[in-house]
Amino acid sequence: MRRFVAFAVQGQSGPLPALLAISVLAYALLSLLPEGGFVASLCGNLTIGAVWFYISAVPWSWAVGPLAADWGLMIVAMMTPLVAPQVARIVWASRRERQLIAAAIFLLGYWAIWFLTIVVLFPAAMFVTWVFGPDLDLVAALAVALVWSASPLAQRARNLCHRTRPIRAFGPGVLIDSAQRGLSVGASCIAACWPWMLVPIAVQSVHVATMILVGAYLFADRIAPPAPATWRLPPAFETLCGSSRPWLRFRFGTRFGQIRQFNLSRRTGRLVPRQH
Amino acid sequence: MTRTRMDIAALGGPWSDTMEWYARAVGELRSRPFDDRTSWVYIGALHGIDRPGWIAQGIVPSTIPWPVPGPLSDRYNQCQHAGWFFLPWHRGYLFALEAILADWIAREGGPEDWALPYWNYLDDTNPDARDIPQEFLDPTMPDGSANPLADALRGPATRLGPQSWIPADITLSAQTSETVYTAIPGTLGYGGPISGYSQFGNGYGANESNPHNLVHVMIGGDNSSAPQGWMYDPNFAALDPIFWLHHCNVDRLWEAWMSDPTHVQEIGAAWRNGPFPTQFTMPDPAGSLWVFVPDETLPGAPLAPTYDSLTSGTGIAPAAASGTIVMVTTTSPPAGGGRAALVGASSAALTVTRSPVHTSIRMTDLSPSALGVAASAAGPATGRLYLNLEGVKGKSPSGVVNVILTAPGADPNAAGPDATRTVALFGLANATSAEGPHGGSGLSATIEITDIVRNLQTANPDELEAHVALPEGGGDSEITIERISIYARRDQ
Repeated sequence: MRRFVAFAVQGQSGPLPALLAISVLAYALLSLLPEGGFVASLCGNLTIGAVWFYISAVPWSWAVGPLAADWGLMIVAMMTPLVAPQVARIVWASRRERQLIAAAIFLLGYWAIWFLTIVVLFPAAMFVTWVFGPDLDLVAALAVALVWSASPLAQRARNLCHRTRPIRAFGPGVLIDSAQRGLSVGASCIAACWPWMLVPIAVQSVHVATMILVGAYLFADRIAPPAPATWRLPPAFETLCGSSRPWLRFRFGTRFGQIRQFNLSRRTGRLVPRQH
Repeated sequence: MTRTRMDIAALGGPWSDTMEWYARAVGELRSRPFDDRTSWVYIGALHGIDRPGWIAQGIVPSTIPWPVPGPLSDRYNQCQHAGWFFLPWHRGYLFALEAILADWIAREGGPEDWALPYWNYLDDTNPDARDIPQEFLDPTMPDGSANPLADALRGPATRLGPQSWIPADITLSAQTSETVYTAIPGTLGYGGPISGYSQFGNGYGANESNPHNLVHVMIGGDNSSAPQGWMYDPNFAALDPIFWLHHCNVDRLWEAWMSDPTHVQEIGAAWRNGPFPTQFTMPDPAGSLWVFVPDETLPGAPLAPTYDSLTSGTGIAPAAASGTIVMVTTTSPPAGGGRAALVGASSAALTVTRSPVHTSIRMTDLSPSALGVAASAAGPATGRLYLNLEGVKGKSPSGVVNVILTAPGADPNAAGPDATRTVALFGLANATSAEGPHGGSGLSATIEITDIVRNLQTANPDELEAHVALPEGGGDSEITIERISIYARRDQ
């Protein structure tokens, strides 16, 4: 638990609190929507028949707007906290007066490319439902996501997510580079996380709660450090254990919370703990 | 029982009792197989391993299992560089090897309190301090047997100092110029910027830059042969027995730095508990694994070493003032106060070869008063300027670049040695690889340029020019730099 607390302390610095606030706001908006929103009403029900019903029964202009808005909120809620290190890098690489706009452009690029995955992920979810049926699609989506997370391809994508690059500091290059970084980090993030988006789409109820759980899982996956691209236990499990080797013991025990004071011995030139 | 690490020059060598036991123990560990956690090769792999390279050089047989299945494989390649865990991780690493060596030495009838010696290469009272100790050069030990301490691939240098491939000298500047452990991004701190678990993070600390990186490159490199010396490559470095004496001195410099009451050691919770979730793992003499956090490496804690002197060759004056040391609690960022801001940057990436290339650095305002580096009636200047080489990538295990800062259009050859900075990039190839555990971000290196900018005569306050080249006597392995930036720090 101490290590979780220490991580929370570490998270207080940098942009993570702001990104979490954006995420919470998006979750709150989603939960305020009737039935969790338009996407939620489709979730767990993505059969060809259901989709045909929506296409034929709901006016096109009425359906597209809410669907896009809900999907956008899902992306913002679940994916925003994952890019705290990249946003931090963008901020400190920018001149003070451009930091906010650079971070905003980065996030817009990141959200935009994630948003486009609706074109692929909804048909994929329909395919999973068609193959496994509405009773088993959640299990199938979870299985696909876990196997993918354990794969070398996913680890390679996660490594790319961790990559940071500087941006230009003057002129329109600030905006161009910020957008380009957002798009490239988003593309890597999609490669690492895409099957996990099938999970909330596959549940019929507690849609927002499922999104929160999956979002937390992806956050845990992302804060594990880069690693060789081999088959492995998904890194989220390492994070949730609070250690990569929870079975190992501290040899000496930690002294967390203790502030030490020392005297420098004039005779030996060594530091000696001060006796209280 | 207290183990006291001694200056090798004070042991009465060459081939003092301490060094002879060290050599014998290294020979014993070298005889142990890779799957023995107390073997020389296993401990070396904890720092870094290049399996094909190790096999090609006959360090391990081609039959070693790889990758080790499951989560156990991430014990290798643990070394923490270019970040704020560099110093505590290496302190734990030294402790682990010392315990394994001492255990064998005691069982063989050697001294019960045997400890690793340190190489006090910056002791200006000893004219031979910079020479590689004779024990690491002799082909045989006093009894005529092969000397395990000389069994390492090294460059041609036998003395630390400027070489044709690295025209820079080791100094103790870090000991006094940086008074705060944690670096504000874009500037230097003694121990480096905030980082997570990262074999190669995003920026070197002052101690790591000089003398640590320079000594590695001076001993291991000449950039003319392949493969390079082991010390030049983090995936081989810990196999060289001299690595451990070098790191004992680097560790002692940190201990000495902490003993100065004006210095601010980072002891915020995030630092003391180490990276999350991956932890530092070491073997004990029985071959069992244990984990540690940086908190356990601070003075008075179990992993803290004892040195015979914290003043000889450390740049720290003996027993200053009251002689009372207080570990100041700090949190990050920014530890110890101060703030920094980007004040200039290049707009295009550079490809660096032996032929100098240059790039313009656009500045917000170059006037010394604007940058806070000019003294005024109110008192001395409180600002400092730092040049950052960001996103540095290359194929060589380590690299060296020269940077000259001039006014626009000025001849860099007329700039003089004071305007030249040489940067050693230890672990360049590792930080460049996107396939491995580094994400391919490359390295960042920070150098202070306050004096250079203060002395620049320029009519254009909005621009500087950076000239970058590989040293004349070095190799020709290309290096790319994504951005060169300048940050101004104002200390509070």
